[in-house]
Amino acid sequence: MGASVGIGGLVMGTSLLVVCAVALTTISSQLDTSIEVIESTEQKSPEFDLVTIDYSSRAILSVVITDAGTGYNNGTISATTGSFSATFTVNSTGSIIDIDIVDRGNYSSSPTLVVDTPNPGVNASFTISTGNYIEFELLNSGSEVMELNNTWILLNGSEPYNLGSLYTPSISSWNWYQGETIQVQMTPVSSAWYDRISFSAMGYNLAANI
Amino acid sequence: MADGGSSTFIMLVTALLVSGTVSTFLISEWNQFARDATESRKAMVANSETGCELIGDFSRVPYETASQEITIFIQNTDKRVLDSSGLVIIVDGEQRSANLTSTISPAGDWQKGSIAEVVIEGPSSWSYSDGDDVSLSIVCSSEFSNGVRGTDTINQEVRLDAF
Repeated sequence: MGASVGIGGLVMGTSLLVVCAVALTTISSQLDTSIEVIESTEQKSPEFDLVTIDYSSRAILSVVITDAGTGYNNGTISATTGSFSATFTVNSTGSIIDIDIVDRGNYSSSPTLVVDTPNPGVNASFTISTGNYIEFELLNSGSEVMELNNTWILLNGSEPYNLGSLYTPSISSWNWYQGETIQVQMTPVSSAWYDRISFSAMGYNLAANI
Repeated sequence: MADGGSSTFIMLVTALLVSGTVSTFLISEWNQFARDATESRKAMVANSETGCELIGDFSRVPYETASQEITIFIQNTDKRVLDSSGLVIIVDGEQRSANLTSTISPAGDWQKGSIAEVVIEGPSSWSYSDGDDVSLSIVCSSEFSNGVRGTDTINQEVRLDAF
């Protein structure tokens, strides 16, 4: 009986060893699985291209109606020099109520704006402000859906601007899908002269001369 | 018979003692291993969820010669909130972590997608000039979570734009 109990003890010890070995194998396997899961969740880098860019250091940023005039028909406005052009709409009395800038031009000195003839109205006058104006198109050329808020634009290596603040989508989505091109206009507050622009998002960087 | 019974009993007791001791040892080691594995896994997860990247124009990193300050921008590129006070920055092999000021944009915690504008104040011995290349090593750390924090490292050579 004693011998059988002794053998029973040995069997128990051996069983415990086997159980421990199985447990170790299980834990090791779980670790491998964890690592695989972690690696599978690693983010892929976004990718985008600068399609077009246009920079004017002294573009006409805004046109304020100083005198709306009377008797006008809907028409166009141009500058006495340069490429500026705009369209305007009038109310029932022919006073100018709204102006849409088509071409902001680039001016070393402020031009005078005039209503293009023929137009029967009189007395309209405008006040303009000039400054830095940058317009560009970005294409999401990667395989990831990007978030606009994660993209930053720097001018001359500083002055960060968030793309989510600069660009207002036509629909309420802050996702920037693959193959989608977005057009952005920005008017930096600084009057500095810029010659470099860079775009960065989640590890992807792009820089260009402007 | 009596002698045989005693030796059998001694064998039995010895076998039980040995198996008990081995079992206790193995269970203790197993517990330790399980704890270590859990800690390692937490650390690995923390590291995998911590990310930062240098952003901007690497050929145009502002360097103010009067104050000897380099300004860089770092983006949080992963899930975990980063600790701006835990930044470690080495410029050309020289640790400048104690001479940093960082501003988070948008203001608040340094969340995923947010950037930190980091101004690195140099020692008087810095004599960089426009166009010099410097080597930056940056270690970002996440906030503590479950007793662990993750880290990520950036190594990047940049060109200074002195003004």
